[in-house]
Amino acid sequence: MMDNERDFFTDRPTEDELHFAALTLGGLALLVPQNEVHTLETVQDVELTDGDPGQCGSEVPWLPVYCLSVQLEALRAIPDECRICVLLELEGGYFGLLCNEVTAIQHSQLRLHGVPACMRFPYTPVRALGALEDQLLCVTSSTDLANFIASQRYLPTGRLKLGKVAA
Amino acid sequence: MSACTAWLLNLRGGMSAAVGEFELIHIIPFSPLLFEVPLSPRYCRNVVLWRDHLVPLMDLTARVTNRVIEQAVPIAGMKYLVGIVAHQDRAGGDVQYGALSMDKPPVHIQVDAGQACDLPASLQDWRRVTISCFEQPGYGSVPVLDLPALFTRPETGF
Repeated sequence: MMDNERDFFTDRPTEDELHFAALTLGGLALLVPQNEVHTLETVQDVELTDGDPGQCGSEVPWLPVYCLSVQLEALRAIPDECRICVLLELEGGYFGLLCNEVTAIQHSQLRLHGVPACMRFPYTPVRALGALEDQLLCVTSSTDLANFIASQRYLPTGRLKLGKVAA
Repeated sequence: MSACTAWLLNLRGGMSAAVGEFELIHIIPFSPLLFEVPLSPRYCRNVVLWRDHLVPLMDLTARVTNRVIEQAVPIAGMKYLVGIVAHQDRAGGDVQYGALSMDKPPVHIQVDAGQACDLPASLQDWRRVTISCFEQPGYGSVPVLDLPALFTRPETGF
């Protein structure tokens, strides 16, 4: 573990980690800190293009959008059930992630577990797994997701394309 | 060496392996809920929630032979059995759990020193996850699993 990395299991949750947004992508649920969700948009204006992120929104000049599969692979077509574009905020800009549903989850509702060592992909954006009734949710953050998306081969520059939200 | 007892595991795809008597601690006799973990290796795509532990479910045949018998499904049904195994990385360390999928229930056997053998050429793919091997009547050469090696690090197949 890096020096500046917090331990999800021994450190008390920060204020930011007390409230999560659960983003459902098909059968996968990603948990991001709620304060990293900027806005929710509809997907009606989104178009995905081959080799580049999609774009969303008529009110903003340029908003990159990514659509991921259950295995976090970049999709080239938008599944019918994807109806929401979540605008995630991170240092330096914003990016959109398409999902089926967004719900609010409290830290106290979850029982957190580490990703088993034998299943841990070295560059996974999943920092922990949270059990909630008959669901398993993947704890991540907009920065972890951005770094992971940027590492995918369809972005040869290795940098995530970010957009600016119009004032 | 005196005889010791072990469990002979009937793994998926007709393969066999053994673990110590106290390493296999539970058989899940009902259909467990499986949860898929993204970016996990294809021989270990799912976890099982067992007694408040999140346990990785490994298809050992797929790991060793690189041959997936059947794609993982969200609900196990009774297509295969799930055995929970326990291991420690070091003496006094925390007990860790893993799950193995099996075609048939395990068999309780006695093994003595006379049955020990080298890992045959046909089972060389097992060497990284095996601590020893023995000959068992009706089964041939049976590798004994090194559970910490199996469950503490990923291999290939992502």
